[in-house]
Amino acid sequence: MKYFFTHQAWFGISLLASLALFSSCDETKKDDPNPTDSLYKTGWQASDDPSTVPQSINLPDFNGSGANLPASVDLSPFLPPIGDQGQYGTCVAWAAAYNCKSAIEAIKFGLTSAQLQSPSSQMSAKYLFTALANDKKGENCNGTDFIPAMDVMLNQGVATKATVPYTNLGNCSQSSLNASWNADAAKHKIKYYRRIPPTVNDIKKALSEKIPVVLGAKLDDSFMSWNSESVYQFATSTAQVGIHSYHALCIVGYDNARGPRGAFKVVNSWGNQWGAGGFIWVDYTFMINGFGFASNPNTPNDKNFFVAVNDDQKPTVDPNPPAATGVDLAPWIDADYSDPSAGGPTFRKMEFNVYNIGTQPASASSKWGYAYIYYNAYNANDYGIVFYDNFDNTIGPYRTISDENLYPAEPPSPAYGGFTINCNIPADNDLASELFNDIGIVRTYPMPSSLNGEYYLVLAVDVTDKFTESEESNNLFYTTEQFPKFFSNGVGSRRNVFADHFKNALSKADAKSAKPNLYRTAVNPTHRNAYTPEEIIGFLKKEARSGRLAQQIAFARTNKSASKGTLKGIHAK
Amino acid sequence: MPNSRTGVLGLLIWSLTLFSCAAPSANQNAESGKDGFKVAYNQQKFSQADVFGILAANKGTGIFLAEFDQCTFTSNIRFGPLAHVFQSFAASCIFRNCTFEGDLEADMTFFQGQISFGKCRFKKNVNFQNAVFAGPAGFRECTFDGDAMFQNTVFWKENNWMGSHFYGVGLFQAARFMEKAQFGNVVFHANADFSLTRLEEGIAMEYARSEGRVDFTDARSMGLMSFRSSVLKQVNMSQIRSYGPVRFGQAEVADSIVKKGARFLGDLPEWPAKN
Repeated sequence: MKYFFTHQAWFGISLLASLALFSSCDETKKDDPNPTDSLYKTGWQASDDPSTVPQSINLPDFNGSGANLPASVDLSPFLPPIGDQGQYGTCVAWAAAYNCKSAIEAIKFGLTSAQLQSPSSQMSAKYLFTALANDKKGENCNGTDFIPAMDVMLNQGVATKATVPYTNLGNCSQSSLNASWNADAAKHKIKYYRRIPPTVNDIKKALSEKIPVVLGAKLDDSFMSWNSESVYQFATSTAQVGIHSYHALCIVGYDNARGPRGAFKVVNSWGNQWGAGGFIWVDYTFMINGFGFASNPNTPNDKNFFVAVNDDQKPTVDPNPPAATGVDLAPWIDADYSDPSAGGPTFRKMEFNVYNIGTQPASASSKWGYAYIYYNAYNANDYGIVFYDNFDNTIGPYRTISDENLYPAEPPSPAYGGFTINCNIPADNDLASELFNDIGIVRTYPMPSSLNGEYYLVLAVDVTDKFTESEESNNLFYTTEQFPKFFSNGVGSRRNVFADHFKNALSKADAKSAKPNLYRTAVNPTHRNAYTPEEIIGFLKKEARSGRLAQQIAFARTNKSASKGTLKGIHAK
Repeated sequence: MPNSRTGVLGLLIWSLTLFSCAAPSANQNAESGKDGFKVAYNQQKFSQADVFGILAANKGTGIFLAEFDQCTFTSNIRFGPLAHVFQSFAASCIFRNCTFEGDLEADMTFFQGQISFGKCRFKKNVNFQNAVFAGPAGFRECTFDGDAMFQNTVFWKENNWMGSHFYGVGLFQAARFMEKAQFGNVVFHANADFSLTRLEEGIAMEYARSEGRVDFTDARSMGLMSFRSSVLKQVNMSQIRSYGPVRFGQAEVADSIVKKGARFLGDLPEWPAKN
């Protein structure tokens, strides 16, 4: 019977649906036909704007093209038993919490299949859906979006099914939350969530790193009645399900040898009688071009593929840490402000210093450098170098500063975006003292006039990773504070406040502290999901290894359209 | 606006050349019959051609057959004006030795007449997903350089793919062949997918060759499935239900045929010697 419906009815459904839709070529939500009540509920509202979620930046390259990716990956052994959302529009909570979050915890803590049978190892979809603000979900447990759901896992965590079983959902109002649930949830947070570029290789890269991918999909009638192990590879009619039926699922594997073009293994939350034991194999091409849905029509290339990284509470300790060099560099910026008099409307001045709070000198012979970097708040692959100053003990007498073609990796041309310095920073000392015998350094620089959009600005020391430091998170200093800056043709401001100046509010004593402070990270209560310092440092290392960072540096330092900056000491008053 | 011999033909030509940079005129013929008009094009180039023009003209004029010989379609071709809206296409079309340099899009199209492609070359993808061929459908001795997408397509009358080469993937998932699916002498240079197909009169794949996987998972066949003298790499018949005979006589299948959950309810299957 099921077979009859699946295969014979497709044709009829196609015709009927098409005739019904013939007069409606504008697919707006207003003209959504009232779909027939289905055996299965969905629940993704498809109102997410994935372009506001930072894109993952640290997936391995796998030889760039992905040629070295494994032929197949299967994370389904790390899943709890197939779940069933029943007659509630809670699919987002099932995909994000029950399947994705349970799997990343199982992978992290090496849980066995037997352990995953226990509700204490399963994340509660009910908790996540109940914890959502009431205005972020439909009434009576009827649908939500990924971003608010991920934010709950980020800010509050998610309780286990042992604490909050999927029973007595009521109307899913947030008022049903109780303290014991929240206490359990706080033990199961995510550190951040990221958008995955909508390409087959990027999804495969995540899976090959044992990271399941949450997916927002547009459904059709054949999906609703799928009961085959063959590969789902095209959309049919939507007469049954409606033209706006959106669903949340979780991708847990792939196999290049599955189906005609290879396929992703996707877990659903409709029980194990649906699909192939609760799973469906989705064709690579169809996943990207048809099934995965772009919920923001203004950014059709941004689809809803998300990954989450576990907040392990206790940081992992590397059993074999690399030998530290004893150098520990920490930048410090007192002020950064617009100064058109220095050369034009995009010119700025930075008052800064670089401290070595380690036990060994940072020698110029190591040829290290610091860079002032901008990166897109939602895709750090879009980054550039404002200036890069490097150290070299061969350019002349000690304490020489040069802006002329002395960076060995570059063609002979004036160094517009950087200086080369012959100076060491002794242990427990700083660059301004050693180079100028002053209390600070003032550096003028032009911002790239082509910069438009929301960017973070960060001074990163040892950006080419010449020193193995025991603590690297203090290598960054953000001048954008709590918010990314909004740039228009290189001139920056806060989004709603035209405040272009940075003024350090901390005590200068904090400069020599290894502890985190508000300028060493972009993550803060208003931007909990911003790129973490670990991500940015890891990303810069990856860029350095690939040679792309050197290209960016060379571009900044040989950009003749920019005006030269200056580097001077600031005298003590 | 090109010249036209009749007002009716003018409408057709206008429809065609509305999207055409190189307007066909010298090598076209039109003749009227009791059922409508026949138009023919020889060695034409169509840029931005949209065959829906034939349909539009057909509605008002009764054109029933359009023939294209050695024509080249230099850009994407679409049967119909809108994507994902089902449309009807009344005219019969015969393409002989034609080259399609762009995609050929005809998903969700209902072809009332005969549609025949003989010795044609499709340099990009061909998309007939969810289409219905109420009349005969022919793709004989064609070359598909890109993907050939015929998922959920219904062939009500004879269908003929004999001697065709599929260099991209051949996608026939959930297609329904009301008459015998004629795939004799085809060559699948990549994978071919016949999963979930419904073969009302079976399939003839004699002397076929595959360099990739041929997948019949969950297919249903009510007639003879003949793979005689074929040379295939991998065949997956998991969950298949075959109510007719299955014949692999003198065929070579490099890997074992996967038969997990398969049921062969016709005569005793005849497997290749190796299996």
